[in-house]
Amino acid sequence: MKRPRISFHKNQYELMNRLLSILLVLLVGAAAAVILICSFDSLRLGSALVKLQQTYSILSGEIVLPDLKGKEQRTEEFLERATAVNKDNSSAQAKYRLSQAQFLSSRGTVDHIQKSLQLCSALKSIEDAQKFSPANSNYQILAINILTTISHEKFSCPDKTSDLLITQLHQAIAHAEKLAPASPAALLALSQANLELGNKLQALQSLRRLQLLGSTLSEQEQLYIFNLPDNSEELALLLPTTYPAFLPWIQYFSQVRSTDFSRWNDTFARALLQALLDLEQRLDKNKIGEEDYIRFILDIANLDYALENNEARKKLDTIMANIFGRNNNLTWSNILNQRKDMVRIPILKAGMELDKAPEASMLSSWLDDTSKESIAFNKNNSALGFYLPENYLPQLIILEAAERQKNISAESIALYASSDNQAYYPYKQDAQIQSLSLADRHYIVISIKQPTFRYFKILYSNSMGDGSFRQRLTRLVQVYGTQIKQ
Amino acid sequence: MKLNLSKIFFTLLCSLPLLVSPARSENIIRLALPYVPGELHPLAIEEPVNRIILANIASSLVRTDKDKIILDAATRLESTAAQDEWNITINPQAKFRSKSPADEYFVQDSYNFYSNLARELSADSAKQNNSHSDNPAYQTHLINSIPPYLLEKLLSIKTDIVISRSSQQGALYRVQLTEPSANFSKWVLTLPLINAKQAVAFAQLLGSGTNTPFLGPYSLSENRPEQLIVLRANDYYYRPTYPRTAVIEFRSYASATDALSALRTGAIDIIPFPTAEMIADTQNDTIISQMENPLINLKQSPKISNWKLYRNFWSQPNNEQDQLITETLLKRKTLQSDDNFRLFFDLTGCKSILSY
Repeated sequence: MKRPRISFHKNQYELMNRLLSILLVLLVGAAAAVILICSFDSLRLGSALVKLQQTYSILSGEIVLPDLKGKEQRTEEFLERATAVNKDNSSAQAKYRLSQAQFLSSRGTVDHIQKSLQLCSALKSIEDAQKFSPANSNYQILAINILTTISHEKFSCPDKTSDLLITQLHQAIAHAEKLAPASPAALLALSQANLELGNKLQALQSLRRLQLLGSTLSEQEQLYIFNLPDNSEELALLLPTTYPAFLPWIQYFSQVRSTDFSRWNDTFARALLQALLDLEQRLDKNKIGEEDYIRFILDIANLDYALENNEARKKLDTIMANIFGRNNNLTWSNILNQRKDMVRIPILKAGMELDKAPEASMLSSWLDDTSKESIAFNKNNSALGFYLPENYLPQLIILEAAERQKNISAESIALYASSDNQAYYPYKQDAQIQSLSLADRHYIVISIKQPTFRYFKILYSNSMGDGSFRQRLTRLVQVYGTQIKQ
Repeated sequence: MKLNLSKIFFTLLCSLPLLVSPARSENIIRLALPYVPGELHPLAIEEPVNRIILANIASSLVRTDKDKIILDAATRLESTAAQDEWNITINPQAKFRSKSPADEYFVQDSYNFYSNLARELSADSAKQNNSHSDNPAYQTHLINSIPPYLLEKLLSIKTDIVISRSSQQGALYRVQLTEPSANFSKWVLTLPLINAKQAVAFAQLLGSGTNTPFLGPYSLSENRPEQLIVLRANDYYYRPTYPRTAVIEFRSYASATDALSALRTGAIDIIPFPTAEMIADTQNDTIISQMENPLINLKQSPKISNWKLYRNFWSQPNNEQDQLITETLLKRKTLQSDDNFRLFFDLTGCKSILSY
């Protein structure tokens, strides 16, 4: 009688164990997914740090060489093969290959004496190759790279003093300029050699020519160029003034060299305006079609900077108002026609995740108008606030969502105002709130007339809010109006 | 094996609430004060309430412990033998709320901001200009709490940036003085670093709003004059794992008796300026401890002649027992503090063990 009971318990126990095992697997799977999602951000951060470290290594004076496309990993094999070939073959090409292998090998050497010997051997090999073929530009470029590295490391070679090597570098530069003035590799080598010799202007001119050639640069080469300008004049020499070449410059400077970006704002504005002019000319000369032109203009308008700089934004507003007018989008055409005559007001911004008592809660943790912090607006009872500096009269408040986010209705928006940031009142004056869309983006456009308050709160009150109206603060809320002259 | 699996599952199930709950609950330190100002002033270093709030929202490049220089946002400080040139390396992690690094330009802007402020304050007409203040009497009190020597020193500053590019070790800022000064680090580098552009945008310095654009561990999140000031921890503070407490509240209590009751019940953690009666009542108390007020250390340097309290009594003028004492403070024994609190009234390393 007992056996079946025991058997019954065992079955039940096994069943329970199996169920629990499945649950455990699911739980571990879910935990792994959470960790994966969390680590995604870390990975992105890691990648950003690598970039930053690269930037620092460039700043600390490390020589940047043309992209070697993975050749460094096979250095030893490459050197062995080149040495073996050289024993049976004394052609210029074999000497060049040997020099290249020796130079590559020196890059991975930490020991200073060993590195110096490798570089001197590389120099000897390339000089031998040049004896056979003195007009070969590739040989000349390699010679410049080797001499620049020797000079940078402050090495000397057994039969050459440092001074002699510097003289040789000068001669190599002069010779390369005649041999290959339009070669990207030569221009990059010349820029670094000139930098090493303290001729920064010549270095920048080489890089300007390199950029005008439109050649594809590696990430490290691009970082090297981004970090060269030390003042606005040097930036003006390097900054491209055509679309889309200037875009990565604006993106890099606004994110990595933000202080320089704001100090040299005028130079960037000039480049952007010049690029807009260039696009117009390309359209007029039928080098691009109307459809491409509109696409390029919208792409430029997507830059935060294009909205932050009044001069550039006014020009873009004029262009886009005309485009929308021609395409019968009269709502946007009218808004942009109004906005083109307004200034962007440098408000201070504050976001509140939960504002259950909007009439009594204060705004705090203020951020600049151009803050890049990402904030979600449409969570139930969330609020966005701003402080209006003196001497500005706001007329237009624009809330902009990121691309492909859900729209929010004008009815879920309420405007509050305060004169002291302590007591807020529903804004009863004439305010028109519209919910609009444009090219995969949603907007809330609020027109106001002559407010007398300094603090404003835009409250979202809809329990269906999911936080998808998210955007960098610089775009999320923009206030335009007029500046009162004192 | 199967039994072990179910044991593991149950263990995991039991620990699930721990896994999904936030790493740190929002803990609060509350301080009771006889008055809570609606305004703050970064130069009013002789006003003790102003000073202890600033100690938690406004960091400087260096701090001083008596004659010793302690680096704060700076990671290195050197001067030439003649002491007319000072080289300061700034912590690359030091960032304002806007995430802008506190680089050499912000440092220069900070000192230009204070120099301009000193110039304005030195002009007699500016002292009378209370148009922005909700409480002109308190603003006058704040201005009277700015030591004249500080204004003089600020007016003599001349700064020149030599190196403008950041290095891996942080931005290097070089200051050249018109006259050599051994005390430069004490009277200038201890001033709070400020986002001058943001401060100027508000027109009035800090006013009745919440604009405290300093580089610091906390930001002012609520300011109700005469009632409450709330500080909230910044998640971008440059000292890892600090601040340990998410929120600090400075609350005004109508009477010393109310404040002491609140301390006994745990509604508050610190009374920075107890009355003579409170000190007598809490001798050898089981839950309240008395300690030397960090203000004593702050008084040493820069040399402060006297603390200038807005009121010398909690609520009963001329009652000796109600007189405010600045040499001792009262705190609950459940509040853990560290050297930074003892030296600078810096609450970033403090936490109430009851908050966990």
